[in-house]
Amino acid sequence: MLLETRTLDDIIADLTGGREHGPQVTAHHVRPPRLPRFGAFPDDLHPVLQESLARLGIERPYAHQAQAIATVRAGKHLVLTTPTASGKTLCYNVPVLDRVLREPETRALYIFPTKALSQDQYSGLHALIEATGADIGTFTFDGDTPPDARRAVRDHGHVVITNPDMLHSGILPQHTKWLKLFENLRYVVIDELHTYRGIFGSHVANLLRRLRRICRFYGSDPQFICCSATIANPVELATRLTGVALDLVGESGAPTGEHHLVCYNPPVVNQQLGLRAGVLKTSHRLAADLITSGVSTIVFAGSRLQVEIILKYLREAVTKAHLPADLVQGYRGGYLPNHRRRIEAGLRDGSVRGVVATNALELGIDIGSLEACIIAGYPGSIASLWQQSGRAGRRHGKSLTVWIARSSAVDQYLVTHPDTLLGASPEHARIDSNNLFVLVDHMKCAAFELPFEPDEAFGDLSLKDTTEVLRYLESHGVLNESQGRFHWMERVFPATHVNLRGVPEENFVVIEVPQDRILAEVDFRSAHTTLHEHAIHNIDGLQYQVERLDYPNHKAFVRRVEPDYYTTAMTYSRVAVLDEEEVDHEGRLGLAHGEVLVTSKVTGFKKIRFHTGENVGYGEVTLPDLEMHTTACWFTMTSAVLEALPYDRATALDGLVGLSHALHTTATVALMCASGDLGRVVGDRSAGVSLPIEGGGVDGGRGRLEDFDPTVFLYDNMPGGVGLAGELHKRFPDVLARALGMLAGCGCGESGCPACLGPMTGYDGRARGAAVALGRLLLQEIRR
Amino acid sequence: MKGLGARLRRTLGEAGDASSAAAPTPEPPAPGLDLDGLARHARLQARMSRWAEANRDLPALEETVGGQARTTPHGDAWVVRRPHSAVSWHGERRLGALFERTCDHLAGLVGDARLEGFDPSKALFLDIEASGLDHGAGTLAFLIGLGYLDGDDVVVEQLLLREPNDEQAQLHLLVEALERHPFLVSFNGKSYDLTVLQSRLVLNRFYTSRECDLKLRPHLDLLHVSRNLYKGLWEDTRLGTLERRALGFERVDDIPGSLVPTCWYHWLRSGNPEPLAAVVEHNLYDVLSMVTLADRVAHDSDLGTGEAAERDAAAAVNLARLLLRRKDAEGAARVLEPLARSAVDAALAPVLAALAEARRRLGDAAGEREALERLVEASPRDLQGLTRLAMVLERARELDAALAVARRAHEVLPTSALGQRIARLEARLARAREG
Repeated sequence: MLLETRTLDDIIADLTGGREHGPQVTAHHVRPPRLPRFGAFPDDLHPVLQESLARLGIERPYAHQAQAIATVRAGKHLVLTTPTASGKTLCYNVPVLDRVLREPETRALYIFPTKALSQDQYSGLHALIEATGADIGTFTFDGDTPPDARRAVRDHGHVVITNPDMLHSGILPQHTKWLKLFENLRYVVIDELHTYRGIFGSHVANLLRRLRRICRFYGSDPQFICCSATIANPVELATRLTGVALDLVGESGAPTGEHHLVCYNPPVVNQQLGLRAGVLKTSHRLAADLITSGVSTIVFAGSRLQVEIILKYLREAVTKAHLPADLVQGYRGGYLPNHRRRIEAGLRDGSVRGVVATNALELGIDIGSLEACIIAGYPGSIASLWQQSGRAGRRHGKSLTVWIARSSAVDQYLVTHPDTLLGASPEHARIDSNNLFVLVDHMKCAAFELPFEPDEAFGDLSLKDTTEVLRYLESHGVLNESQGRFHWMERVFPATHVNLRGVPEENFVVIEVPQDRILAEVDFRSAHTTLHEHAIHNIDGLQYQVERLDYPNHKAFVRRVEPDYYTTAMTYSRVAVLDEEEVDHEGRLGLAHGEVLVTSKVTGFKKIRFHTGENVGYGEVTLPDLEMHTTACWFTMTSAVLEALPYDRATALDGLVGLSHALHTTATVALMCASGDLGRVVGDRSAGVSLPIEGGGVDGGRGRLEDFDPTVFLYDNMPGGVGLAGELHKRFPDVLARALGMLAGCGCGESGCPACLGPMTGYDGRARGAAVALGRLLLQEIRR
Repeated sequence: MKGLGARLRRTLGEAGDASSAAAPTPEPPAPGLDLDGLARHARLQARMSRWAEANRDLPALEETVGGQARTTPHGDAWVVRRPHSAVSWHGERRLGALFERTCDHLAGLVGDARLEGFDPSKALFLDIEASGLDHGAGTLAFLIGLGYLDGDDVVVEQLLLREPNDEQAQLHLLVEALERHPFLVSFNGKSYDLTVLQSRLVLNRFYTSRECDLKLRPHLDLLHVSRNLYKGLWEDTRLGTLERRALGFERVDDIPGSLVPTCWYHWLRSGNPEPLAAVVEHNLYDVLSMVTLADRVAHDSDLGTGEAAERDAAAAVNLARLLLRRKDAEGAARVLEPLARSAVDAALAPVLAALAEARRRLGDAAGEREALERLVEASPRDLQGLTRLAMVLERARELDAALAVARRAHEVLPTSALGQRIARLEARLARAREG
C-alpha cells in the first residue's frame, strides 16, 4: 500500500492553491525569513558575566538586545516590544546581573502575570546565574513558597520573582520585613505588559503606585523594564502603569523563519441565515490533517467548552488514523498544575504532537517549537491573535498559522477586512487607574502600608482627588486623620479583601462522585454558566453531569456520563441607571453615559446534540443574580419615535435589538476591545424589563413591551468600568456610521442575518429594515 | 469629570455614624457558661455599653488612665508610670522574689547562649497592645508595657499613644529603655510583640537593614518555656490559664484580648478614654504576671533549690524531657530519681520512661534496664518501653528474655521492625542451640 506523506508545504499549497479551500481563504500573508542582526555587549560588561554568556553559546547579542542593555545601563526606563522568541529575557537579565556582580547589595524584582511563568523564568535565570558561579540568590516568591523559606527569600534574594497578587498581599503589606529589598531595589521587571489591561491593568497600575510609594520611603527609585507583545500603545500603557517615562526598543534583530498566515472564512452552509460551517468542525479537520501528517500543531479555542469539544473530535480522528489518542492533549487554565507540567514536558519530548489550548498557553511559557497554529475564532484582541500565532515557528524553519473566522459579526468584519489584522493598527490597551472601586481599594491598602502624609498625592492622582478619597475613607471610619496624616484604622488586613483579577469571589471546585476526587476548579462567574445543576461539564475531553451544586460552599458534584449532547447556558441581563442627574445628555434621544447597575442571571440551559448541533431540550436554572456597578453609554427611543416608523411595535423593537447588535460589533472594533468587554442590553432604564438577546428569556413577558421607552445600553463589562463607556460616547457618531454601513453592506442582502442583526427567531427582512431606519433617525438626531 | 468625593458617596455609599458603629461589644457568651461566667459577661457588657453612651461629659485622660506627657526630641509621649513595691503580692507570689533568685540555669534550659548570665534586675519585661492581630505594616503598638526593677520597686511603665503621631516619641522612649536593659522578657514576643515593634521601628526610621537588632537581643520568651514545663498540667498554657493555675492570680472584669484593637479605635473616634483605661489595666496585669511567671519558671526549673522531691510527676517529666533535649541527661536524672523511688503504679510510667532515657544517655546500662523493667511492670502495653527493653536484653545477650519481650511488643502493635527483630532473635537462638 502506498502511503501518501504530506508535508507542511503540501498542506499550505492545498489551503491556498484552491484545490480544497480556495474561495474560503480571504488572505494569505507570507512573512519572509529574516536574518539576524547583531550588536555587541558593552566593553565594560562584567567579565564573569561575559564569560558565562559565551559558555552558554551567546557570543554577541542581537541588535535589540544590545540596544536594550545600553538603555538600561544608561539609567533609563525601558519598554521592549519585540516578538515572541526574540530573546527578551536576556535584555533584562544581563544588565541586572551585571549590576549585582558589581554591587552585591543590588536587588531586583521580576513580576510575571502567572505563577507558571514565574517558574519558567526562574529556570532560565537560574541557569545563567549557575554559569557565573557567583553567589547570587534568585527565588520565586508566591503562594507556593513554604513559610520557612520566606525568610531566606527576604534576606538573600537578589532577584525576587513574583506575581502581582503576591506583591499585593504578601510583599507590600509586609514591607518592613523586606527592607533589604526595598532599600536596595534598582530594577523592576514587568513582563507580558499587555496582559495588564482592562480591570487587571487598572489594579496593577495602583499596585505599582503603592510599590513606588514604598520605594520612596526607603530611598530607592527603581528603573522599570517592561516587555510587551505588539500593541499600538506600549509606551502609553507602560507609562500609565508605572507612572514613569520610558524609552522604546521595538525593532527585533532576532532571526525568524518563513511564516504563513492564512485567514480562512468557512463556507456558507445556510445562505438564507448567513450561517457558515462551524469553526470547531473546520478547526479539528484541519488540525487532524496536520497532526496525522506529522506536523506539530497547536489549536487555540475561545472557551474551555470549545477546547474540550475539539479535543474530543481530534482524539477520534487520530485514533481512526491508528495513532495513540494521547498524542493530542488539552491545556487550559482549570487543569491542576502537575497535569499542565506533564503536557508541557510531552510537547518538548515529542510524545505530544497536538495541543488544544485556551489562552493559558498564549503567554510566554516555553513549550518548544510547533510548526502550525490554528486559531479557532478571533481570540478577542489582535495582540492575542499574534501571540497565539507566535506559538508556531518560534525557532527557524517554515511555519503556518490559520485563523478561522466564526460566523460572528466581529470575526466576519475582520476576515473580510484582513488589512485590519495585517496593517499597523492593532489594539490600544486601555486601563483606568482611577476606577473608583480599584482606586479606593488600593488607597486603603496604601494607607495600611504607610500613613498618608499631609500634601501627599497618590501616584499621578491630584492632591485634591487624593484628599477627597482620604476624607471619604475617614468619614467611614477606615482612616484616622491626625495633624494632616491619615492612618489606617481598621483591624482587618485590607489586601485580603482586594482581588487584582477583578473577581472577588472564590473559585468553585469540581468534585467527581462517587470517587470524591477533585477534578478541576472553575472561576466564580464561569461557574454560573458551566456548573449549574444538570449541566454537562467537559474536562479533558470527558463529559460529566453536574448532580448537585453546593453554591454556598463553592462545590459542584459531578458524575461521569456519556451523553450525545452538551449544554449551553442562557443568561439575561438588566441595566438600571443609578443617577440620572450625573448623566451627560445629548440630543432628543438622550445619548448619554454614566453609572449603572447591571444584574445578570442564568435563566436556563439548552441541550445541543454533538456533531449535528441541533437543540434537543431545555432546562431551568435557579442561581443567585450577579450584580455589577459599572459605566454605560445609552440612548432611548421614545414611543413617539417608534410609532412614527412604518413598522408595528414588535418589529420596531426587533429592529432596535438588531441595531444594538451592529453597534456593539463596530464599537468593539473601534474601541479595540474584546467583544466580551462590552455588554449589551435593550430594556428600560429602571431595569423593569429587558428584551431577549443571544438566547436569553424575556423578563416581564412580551406583553409588557407596550409600557416602556426602550433604551439601548452598551456597558463596560467590569465593575467600575475601564473607561469604555466615556470613550464610546465620544466616538459614537463614528461607531453608529460604521454600524449602518455594516447593516447596509452585509452579505445576506436584504433579509438580515445573525452576523448583522445578531441572533433572532427569524430573518424576513423587516427587522433589518427597522434597524436601518432607526439607525438613520439616530444619526440625524445626533448630527443635528 | 465630576468631583471624586461626590462620585464616591454615590457609588460606594454615604458614611454612617462611624463613632457608634465601632463601639466595642463583648462576644456573645459561650453556650454552657456557668453562672459566674454569665455574670462576668453581663458586667462586661454593661461596662462597654456605657462607653458608647452618647452625650456624656467625657472624663479626661489623666483622670481615667493616669500618667503624664514626657518630652522627647520627637515630641511628647504619654507615659503611665506605676511603681510596685517588691514586697507586694501579685496573686500568690511576691513581685520581688524573682530578683532575689539566681537565674543562671535559664540559658541552658532555653537553649539560647545569648541568655548566659541572665540577670532579672537587668531585664526589661515587655508586652504590647496593638491595633490589629496580624503583623502587617499597618498594625501599630498603641501601648507598650514595660516592667523593670528600679531600686526596691518593680516599675511598670506604659508608653501610650494618644494618637498615631505620638509614635516617634513613644519609640524613642522604648529605644532608651532597651539601651538600659540588656535582656528582654516577653510572653510570645518572638512571634508577636517583637515582630510588631521591629516593624514600627523600621517605619519610624529608627532601624535600617544594617541596624535592626531587636529580634537578635537576648530574649526570654516565657510562652515557649511555659509550654515545655507545664504542657499537660492544666487545660492549656495561655497566660490567663497560667495566671490562675501557676500564679494564683484571678483577673476581675478584664477586657478580652480580642477586643483590644476595637478599644483603641473607639478612643480615636470618640475621645472617650475609658476603653483605653481598660486596655491599660489589662496590659498592667500582663506585665506583672510576666514578672511572677518568670519567678515561677526559674523556681520550677532550678535543680539547685533542693525542692526536687516536691515536684509533681507530670511537671518533673516535662522538665526532664526539656533537659534531655538540651543534652543535660544528668540534670534530667536528678529531677527524676527522687520520684522514681516511690512504688510502681501506672502514673509512674512516664517518669520511668524518661529516667530510662536519661540513664541510657549517661551510659548506665544496668540502670536503664532497671527503669525499663519497672516501666513495663507499671504499664504492660507500653510499646516503646517493651521495644527498648527487648533491645537492652538482646545487647546483654539474654536472648530468650529479649524474644519474650519482643513478642509482647509485637502483640501490642505488629510492626515490621518488630517482626524482623523477632525473626533475628529466633535465628540467633537457633544458631546458639546448634552451636
